[in-house]
Amino acid sequence: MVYAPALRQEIVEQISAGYNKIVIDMSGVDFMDSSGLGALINGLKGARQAGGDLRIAAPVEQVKLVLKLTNLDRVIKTYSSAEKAFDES
Amino acid sequence: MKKSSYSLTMFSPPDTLDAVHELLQTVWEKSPEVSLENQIRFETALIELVSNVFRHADTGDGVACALNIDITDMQIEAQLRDTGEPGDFKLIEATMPDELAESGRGIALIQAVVDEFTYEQEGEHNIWKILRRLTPADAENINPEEMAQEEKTLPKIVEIPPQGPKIEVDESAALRLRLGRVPHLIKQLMKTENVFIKLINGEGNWVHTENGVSVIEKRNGEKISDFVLVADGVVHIADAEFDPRILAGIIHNDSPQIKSYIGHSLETKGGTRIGVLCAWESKPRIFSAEELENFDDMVFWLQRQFENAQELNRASEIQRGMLPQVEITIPGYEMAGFCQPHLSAGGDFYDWIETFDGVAFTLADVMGKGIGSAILAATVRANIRATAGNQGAEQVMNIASHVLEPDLQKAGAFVTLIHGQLDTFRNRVRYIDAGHGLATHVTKDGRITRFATSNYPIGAGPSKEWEILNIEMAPGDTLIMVSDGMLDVFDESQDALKEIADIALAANSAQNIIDKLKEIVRNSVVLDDVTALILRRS
Repeated sequence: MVYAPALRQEIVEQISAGYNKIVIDMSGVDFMDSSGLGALINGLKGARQAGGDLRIAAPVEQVKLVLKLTNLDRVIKTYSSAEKAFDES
Repeated sequence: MKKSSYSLTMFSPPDTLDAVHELLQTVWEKSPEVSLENQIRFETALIELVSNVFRHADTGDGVACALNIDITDMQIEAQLRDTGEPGDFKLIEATMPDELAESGRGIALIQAVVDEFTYEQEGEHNIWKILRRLTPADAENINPEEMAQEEKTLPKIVEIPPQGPKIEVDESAALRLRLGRVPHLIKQLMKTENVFIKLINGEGNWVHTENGVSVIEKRNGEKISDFVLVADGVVHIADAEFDPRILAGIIHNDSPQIKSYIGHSLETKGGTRIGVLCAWESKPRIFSAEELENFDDMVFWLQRQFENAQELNRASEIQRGMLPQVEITIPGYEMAGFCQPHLSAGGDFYDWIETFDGVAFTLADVMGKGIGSAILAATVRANIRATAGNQGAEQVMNIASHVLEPDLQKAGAFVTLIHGQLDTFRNRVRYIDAGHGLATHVTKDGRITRFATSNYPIGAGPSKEWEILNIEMAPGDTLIMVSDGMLDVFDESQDALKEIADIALAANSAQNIIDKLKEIVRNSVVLDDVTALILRRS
């Protein structure tokens, strides 16, 4: 609830600056609620609309659980680190 | 049994969720036996709850809450008591467009992570409880398979007999209840004893509610209200015995106990006068300019409520009209369904349309509730309907996905959907599930098959290929499709899909299954749209 609006805004700015492949490094996030989910989904849609994708890196157990229980783990891909998220040939 | 209790009082603003995180930090330090998974689950639910209360129960003066956490070997329980406006008003209002996605997901999340989640009113307070059971089996580390298992049996909001007036999940009832509070508020605001909202009924007479009972009075021109209804602005009578308009016979007053009076007509947006708001006393009284202004504000607010209610009713009517109105005749098969939106209108729907060899049917759930979701649901329905009568299931889904994807993206929403096409010659259903996953096939002898889905919801990115199932329908087989709201009506200890399958096995027709499900829904507190669709081979 505290950081969700800021995250939402930041993603929008990155997309308007021309970036469409976005990785959210979640390693420093120890808790996420439904407003955080809302921000991620919003960002995901923006990134996909711009022809890219939004992925997350290094989520803690709480974040994994929330993604899993809301079935959003099926739409947002998770990677072990930010470097690996778009490391595809 | 060992029991530890913790408590915390918060006032928001300025208190934030950090206070709850800090308290839980202490709890976990003192109770290291609680597994990491249970810590995570409990904390997720509690933070979600408190942030919901902070966001929605704030009546403008902030909200105070008292939090108690009790922990034993068996369970961990939190009770949150808050001073937000009692009743479900805020819950209902919280689902207006902007908040849709977040609030809907929040409640679902709480239900998913803990074992019990209840709400009740006690006087001026709302009391929320969440409970997580601690069993030895849970004390292991997070096990993905176990979590996947739990996902299928979401706990529901436990029904508690209401202490105050029962809040039906129906906009007109919510409106009546809100209006029911208005006289009470005005009584306090203006320190007057008698306040009525008098409306004109279908016969053109006055009707108002007194102590919960409807009172009808003839509209015969003999009452002050008759004058107020056609007058401009506030009508103020300080002393009925000496009021020049009454003495001159312009205003009639057939109630000698009314000595002072204040009233204003109520009208719709279109300018139709539908009633009056009035207050009266048995002794002379001059209402101050400030009181008259307050009264005016109340009239304005009331009219807005009527307008909103009218629009919602209209939306509700239109949406109901979009559900299949007539029974469908399919040789050798029966089909029946029902859909009950949580608010006036909602994001669920079902539909069916005849094809040359059987029927094409759809059950869909647009994320969220309320009018915003209803607009999207109507769009989804129209798209599917355009092709379902003469295109194969895969083609229908391709076109729907292609057309709807941009709209859903823009709206920031997605829809989970089941589309099936029955071929009555082969007795086979071609079945595509876009992220919905709530369907079961039940054979006559009780074998139950659940269908998982690997397709994405529509709106969550274009699906390249649809996974299609072929479901063979033997005589007596039933295909049951529901929306997730249906799961909420079953007890958390029950496996909802299994329960519904059992109902299907005991029933003698598709309509009979629907009737039974309807009855269960009627007796439950449901905070989501609920839909069910049944296909049965005779």
